[in-house]
Amino acid sequence: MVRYIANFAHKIITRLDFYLKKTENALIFQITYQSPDITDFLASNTYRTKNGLLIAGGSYPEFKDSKNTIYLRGKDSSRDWKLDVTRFVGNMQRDNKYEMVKEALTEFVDFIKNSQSFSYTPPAPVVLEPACWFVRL
Amino acid sequence: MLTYKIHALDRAIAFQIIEQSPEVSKIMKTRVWNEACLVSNGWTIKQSNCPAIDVNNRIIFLRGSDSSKDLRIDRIWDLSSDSYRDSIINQVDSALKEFLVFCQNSMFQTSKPCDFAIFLVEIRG
Repeated sequence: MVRYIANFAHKIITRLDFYLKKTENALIFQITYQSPDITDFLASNTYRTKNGLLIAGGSYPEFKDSKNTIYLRGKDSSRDWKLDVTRFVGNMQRDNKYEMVKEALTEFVDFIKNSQSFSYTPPAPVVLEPACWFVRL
Repeated sequence: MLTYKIHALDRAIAFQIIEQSPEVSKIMKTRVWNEACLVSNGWTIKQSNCPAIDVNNRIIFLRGSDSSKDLRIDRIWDLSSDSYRDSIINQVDSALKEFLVFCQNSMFQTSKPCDFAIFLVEIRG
C-alpha cells in the first residue's frame, strides 16, 4: 500500500523521468516515465525551446542531433523503454548537447506544468478499505 | 589494457569499450584456445567485429575486426527487472576482471622467462 501511494504521489509531482548519461563521444537517453498530459500535448503539437531544440512526439524516444529535435515517447509504445544513443565527434560537443537537452526538457516540463489547456488532473487515488479486499457473500 | 563502461539504466544496460590495447588481441590469438576465453562464472570472452554483450549465450565480445565500431555502445533493454540487470552487470564486470588478470599473467609469462634465463646464466657464469 505504501509503495502504491508513493508511486501515485511520484506520478502527480513528476511529468517526465529520464536518464541522460555521458559516455565516450556519446549520450545515452532513456525515458522512464512520461505523464499522459505530455503525450496528449505532443500528439498534436511540438514545442520549440529557447535554446533552439524542438520537442516532438514521434514514434519512440530519440535525440536527433542533426534535426535539433528531441522525440519523446510516441506512437510505438513497444519502444517506450528504448535506449537511444547519440554519437558526437568529441566529448566537448557531447557536453554542450548534454546541457542543451537537459535545459530543453526542463523548460518543456515547466511549460506543460504551467499550461492551462494541458493541465493534467490525475485521477483520484483509489484507497481500498480492508472491507473491500474480502467480499462476504 | 582494457577500459570499459557499463551503464545501468531502467531495466537496461549500455556497454562501451573505451580503450583496448593491442596486447589483448595478441593474447586472444596466441594464448586462448579457439580465440574464446571461458571464465569461471560461465561467461565467454571473444572477439568478433565490434563490442557487444550476448546475454542469452553469456558472451562478451571485445573490439574486433571493424575498427570504425570500436566505440560502439551495445544496448540491452527490456530486461525483466532491475535486479536481473544488476546481476548481469556484476557477472560481466567480474568476467572482464578475471579476463584482465589472465591477460596480465599471460604478458608476465611471455616476457619473464627470458629475463629469468638471462639471470640464471649470469649466476652460473
